[in-house]
Amino acid sequence: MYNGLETMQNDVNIIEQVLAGDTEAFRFLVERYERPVLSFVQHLLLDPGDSPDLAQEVFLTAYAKLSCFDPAFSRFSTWLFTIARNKTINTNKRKRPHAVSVLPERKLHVDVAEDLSRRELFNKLDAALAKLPAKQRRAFILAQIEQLPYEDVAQIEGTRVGTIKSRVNRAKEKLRASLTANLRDSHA
Amino acid sequence: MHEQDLYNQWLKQKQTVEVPDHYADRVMHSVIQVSQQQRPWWDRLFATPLAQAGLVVATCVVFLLRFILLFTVALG
Repeated sequence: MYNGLETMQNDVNIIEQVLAGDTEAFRFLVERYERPVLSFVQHLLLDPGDSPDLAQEVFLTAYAKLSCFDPAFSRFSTWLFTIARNKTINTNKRKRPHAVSVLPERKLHVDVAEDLSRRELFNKLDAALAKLPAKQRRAFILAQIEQLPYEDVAQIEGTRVGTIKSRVNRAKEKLRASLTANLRDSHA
Repeated sequence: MHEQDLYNQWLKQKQTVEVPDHYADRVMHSVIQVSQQQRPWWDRLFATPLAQAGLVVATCVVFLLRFILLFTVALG
């Protein structure tokens, strides 16, 4: 989606335009990345209700520091997710630890009558995701939900690809274990 | 339903995030404010129509004074 070579080149062209004084060109980057950035911060924040404000801060920081972005070092998306990661970590630090909450229930595009138990299962999976250690949760969200390549996730997290793969696998195992246990409970 | 299917459905649901209406407009509004603050003070000073009109008037006054001065000197 936002990992292609063409997208990357396009991002660099837009950044050059913005740095040359065309502020309005930044809108293309906002429109391209608003969804993944919102999704990322929403899944990571202890209070997902803050996600639109925090995602806005991410874009503002990116704009203010755009001259520091080096396309030879990373993709724009990777750089943007790194800003988002740091901001969510700092925001979560300011929140009280017991304020952990799961995401607000979302509309499912399936028949309402048939899926009450499924919704409950999904809520329990959301809770299991929220309970994962922060590093595992971030790796899982970036790799599985945002579908970033492992190399990019490793760059964002400042660690090796092998470590990220291991974190994602451990997160998957825990989520699957939670799903299995909840399915067993619902059948009992 | 199979466990794997449920897991995949949950993951798909997690990948669907609703973006608030006019979110890009809201972000761009802030970005433009930041960009205004980043401009040098003289650039910001003359960015408003009032300041530009003032600059035109001041230029005219200077030329007028110069003309009066020259005229006075010429008269002697």
